[in-house]
Amino acid sequence: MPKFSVETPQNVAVSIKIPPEMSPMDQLELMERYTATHRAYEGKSREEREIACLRILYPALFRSIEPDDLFAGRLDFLPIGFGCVTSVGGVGHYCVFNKLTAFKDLLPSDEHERVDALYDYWLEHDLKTKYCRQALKDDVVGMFIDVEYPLIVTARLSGMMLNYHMLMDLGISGIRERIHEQQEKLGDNDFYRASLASLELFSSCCDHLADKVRSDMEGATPKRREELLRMESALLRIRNDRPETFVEALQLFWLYALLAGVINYGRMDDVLGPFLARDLRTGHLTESEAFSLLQSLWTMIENRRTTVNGRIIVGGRGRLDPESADIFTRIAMDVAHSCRYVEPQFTLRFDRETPDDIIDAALDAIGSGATYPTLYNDDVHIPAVMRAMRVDEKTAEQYVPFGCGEFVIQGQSVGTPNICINLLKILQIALNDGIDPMDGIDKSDGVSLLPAEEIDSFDVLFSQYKRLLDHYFDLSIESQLLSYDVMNQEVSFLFTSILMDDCVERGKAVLDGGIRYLGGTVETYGNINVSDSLAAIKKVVFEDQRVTLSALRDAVNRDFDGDMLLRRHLWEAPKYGNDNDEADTMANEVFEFVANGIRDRGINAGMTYFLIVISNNQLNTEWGRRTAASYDGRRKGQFMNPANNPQGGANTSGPTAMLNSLTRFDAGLHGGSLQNIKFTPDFFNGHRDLVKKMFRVYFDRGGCQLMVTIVNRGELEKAVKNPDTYRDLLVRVSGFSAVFVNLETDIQEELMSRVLYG
Amino acid sequence: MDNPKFFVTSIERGAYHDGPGLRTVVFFQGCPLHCAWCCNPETQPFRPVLLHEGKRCVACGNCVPHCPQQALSLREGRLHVDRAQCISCGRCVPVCPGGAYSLSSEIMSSEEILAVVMKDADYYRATGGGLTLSGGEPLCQRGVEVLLFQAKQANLTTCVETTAALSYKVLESVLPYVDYFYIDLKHSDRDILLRETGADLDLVTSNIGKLMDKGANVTLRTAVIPWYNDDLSTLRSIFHLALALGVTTYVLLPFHQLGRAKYAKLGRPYTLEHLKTLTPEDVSEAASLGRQMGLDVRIGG
Ligand code: SF4
Ligand code: SF4
Repeated sequence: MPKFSVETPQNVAVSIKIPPEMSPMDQLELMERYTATHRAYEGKSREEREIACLRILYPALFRSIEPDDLFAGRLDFLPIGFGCVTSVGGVGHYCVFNKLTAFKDLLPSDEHERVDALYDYWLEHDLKTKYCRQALKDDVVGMFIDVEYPLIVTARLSGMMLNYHMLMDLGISGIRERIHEQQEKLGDNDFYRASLASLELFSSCCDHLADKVRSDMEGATPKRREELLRMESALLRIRNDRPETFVEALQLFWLYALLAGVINYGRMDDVLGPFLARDLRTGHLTESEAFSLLQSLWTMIENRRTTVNGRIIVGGRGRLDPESADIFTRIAMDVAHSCRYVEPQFTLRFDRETPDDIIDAALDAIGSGATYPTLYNDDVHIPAVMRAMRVDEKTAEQYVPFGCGEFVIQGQSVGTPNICINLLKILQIALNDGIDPMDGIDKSDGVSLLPAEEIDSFDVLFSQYKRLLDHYFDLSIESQLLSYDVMNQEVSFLFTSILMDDCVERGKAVLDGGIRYLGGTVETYGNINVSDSLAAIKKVVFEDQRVTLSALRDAVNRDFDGDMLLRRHLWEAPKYGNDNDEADTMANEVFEFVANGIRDRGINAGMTYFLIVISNNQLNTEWGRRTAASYDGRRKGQFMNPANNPQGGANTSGPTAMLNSLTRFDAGLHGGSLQNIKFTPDFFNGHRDLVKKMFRVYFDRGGCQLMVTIVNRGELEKAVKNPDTYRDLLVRVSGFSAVFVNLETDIQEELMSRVLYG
Repeated sequence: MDNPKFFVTSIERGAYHDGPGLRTVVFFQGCPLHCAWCCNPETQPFRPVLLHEGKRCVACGNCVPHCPQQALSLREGRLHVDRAQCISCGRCVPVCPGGAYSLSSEIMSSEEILAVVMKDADYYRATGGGLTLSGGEPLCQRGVEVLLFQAKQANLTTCVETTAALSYKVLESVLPYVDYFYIDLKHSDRDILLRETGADLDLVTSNIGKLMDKGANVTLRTAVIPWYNDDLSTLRSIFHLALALGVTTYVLLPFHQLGRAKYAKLGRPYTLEHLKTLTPEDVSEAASLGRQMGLDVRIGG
């Protein structure tokens, strides 16, 4: 059995969670009841077990309604429970062991034994642990997020964005009817029965929340009473019927998303816009009430603290009623402008037809320092998604980015990123006879490799790297498929399955053959460090012949100790992000090899798609800490390049050069790629028209996505503290430009307080 | 001379301060003037100069034996460059592990320059941008008219930032290929101008006048420098001069010290440290004055 610690944190949690409302003793009792139920259903079908367990959790885990909430639904998570992602709770029937251990401290010591008993039970039953036992491989395949490994894997069902149209059109009772129809047609089964029971559970949660609402009415101000009355009537309607008003639709969507355990929401303008537009038209709602309701949604999402999720997507092609949707979009834009939360990750899809005022509002929000919306270009993405995922145009129009940037087709595909691969570590292993220079452990997994002394050309080096990558790609597809098998054996993700095409039609859960498009994604890290490393080796070793490959390997393994001159030559070799043909071509070559390698394996395994994503989160930093120095001049332990951006701001040739480099990759080969670009307020806000036209050119040239940061005073302070991450921050005035972090301290201060209008 | 070569100190892409739209600014080595507030002092000499960045020097002494002129020495743990001996051969540049050295310019042909410039052609088309020549004094470069001609052939809009302190013949030779002249009017007093910058006011104004007569598109610019020309009476007389020359487009550039570090790298003293950096607000009164007088004044970055 592979060695691993069940206590490894399962994700990089950036935001601090709100502690549960229940007392520790109540939490313990609930977890015990959950565990007892799980045990009692041993030998029963997974569906029966799942619904029985869900009944223990809900409605018990609902928190009180906060005084500012305009619709109901706040949930707590305990170290033991049920879920589909690692950011809230865990996956399937889960136990988060490190949290359970920490939970012990909240209890008197004579109760610790009870926790230990739970711990022991779940060691054998936690879904992820079961997966790890089968999937991990000593020294080669590690668990999320054990950064000693080149490949880390997990079982989770991330990024599910449900078919909320179906929910709105049919309501709970309509879905129930549809299930009945299918039961008649295809015959009854556990999935249908459990689905119906899930819908019943939904209704009882509505009732439970309605009771809470009623009890809050006592002593409420007249205004609050009115809000609570509205909330109550919404809950009582949606417990069974289709929503009629915006508030009802919002309540229905939110409660369902909570019970399904999904943390990305998708095209809310498309789903909720028509309700909103009608209410505004009929005078049922005022604009300012609509604003407050959306603000309340933003707050609810923020309070879930899912770190890099909470996607709300507006705009773009393929919406049923674009005009109404745009009404939602405009208000959402105002909310994003004023809220400044880390979540929701507010995302604008646009194309050449998008109304100008929406683009302007988006740029205004960004310019004010809100960092959102993130911009996605439909003109590029729709044809790209058609190719990448092998779907038709109508389907591709429903692409939605989730989490750190992976795409799924809303309501139709599974695309969970259960694999993360450190491309840079693998390059180092390829150059060191299979040994990871970070810890001296052999991670070649039996792939035979030439020692650097025998590599006599760049091509031999590159093909050796590719061979090792190929092996790791094989491990990737195996681990992804295994994650689906293990999850499917254990659970049906009932609430999710009900709202994913074509589960109800087929009478099968998502991973049991129900989902229309079975996809998956691999998060890649260090892609640019790799291509810059290869470009540097090519130049310094094979062209300039400054050093032999083996001497280079040794110097880099020493973290350049005593060889800073070599480091400088590596650092000065062509770098991606500067519109430099050599560096960009290398980046693209690496990209295509990795993208195709993963994609082909998915197709061969019978998946609709299996794609790489170049995502944006904290893992590049975490993994970088445990990654040796690299051949692009990066020091040992330094973060790896973030998203699809150059290392440490190696792009110092200005925005147009950066944007040109970004357009080099074929978007039809990946399942999402993020790029950040920084602007001073002087440029972005002072010359908005130019910026807008510049973006237009970028998007016309094939730019797929952009995330814009405006460098305000706070950013500049960060730049002073971490110059390495801000080398791409240029200061420009007439006839002069300089890299901000290279300026003298007092001049930096001067700029912070004045010239940049921070 | 269809592919002339130049000493290029830097190329700045995606610039937005030096002419309309997004532009690529090419900086050249060499300037006939010597303004104390110059933010690109490395461009003043007509030959490349050596820059040594103290912050990056670890005083390892590696470079010392590589200098054919014995211009380098380590003294009390600090590296010393004997500027009088240095011939800018560049041999010390690649041997420094810290990357402390650089030469101020490299030789580029007009073809090479335009290859870089053309990479942003799409952006110029979308924004009305193009190529800007700056420096130094770009018009002191031999063959600059060829570069400008080629730029026009390539459908670029062209802008030249010049001191106009040179023979009109030069201006005349580039006139057909320049869409925008940005000319510095640094002072209205003949003696002060000569003393502080080395420029001949009569030459500058007569050149501007001739360009205006030929219908050139001229924008005048004044770097507003605290001890030198920032009082309203001086600015008023500068504005008068502009109006007399028939120019109405005006840019005021508030004084900054961003180029200060470069003086240290050149081993030259920076004499304006005591002066206050100006903000756009600081020159807004001057701008309104110009506007009252009938000029179209913009405050530049
Ligand atoms: S080689 Fe570089 S770091 Fe060493 S003394 Fe010379 S300038 Fe300084
Ligand atoms: S540029 Fe040449 S002459 Fe000048 S210091 Fe360096 S090596 Fe010596």
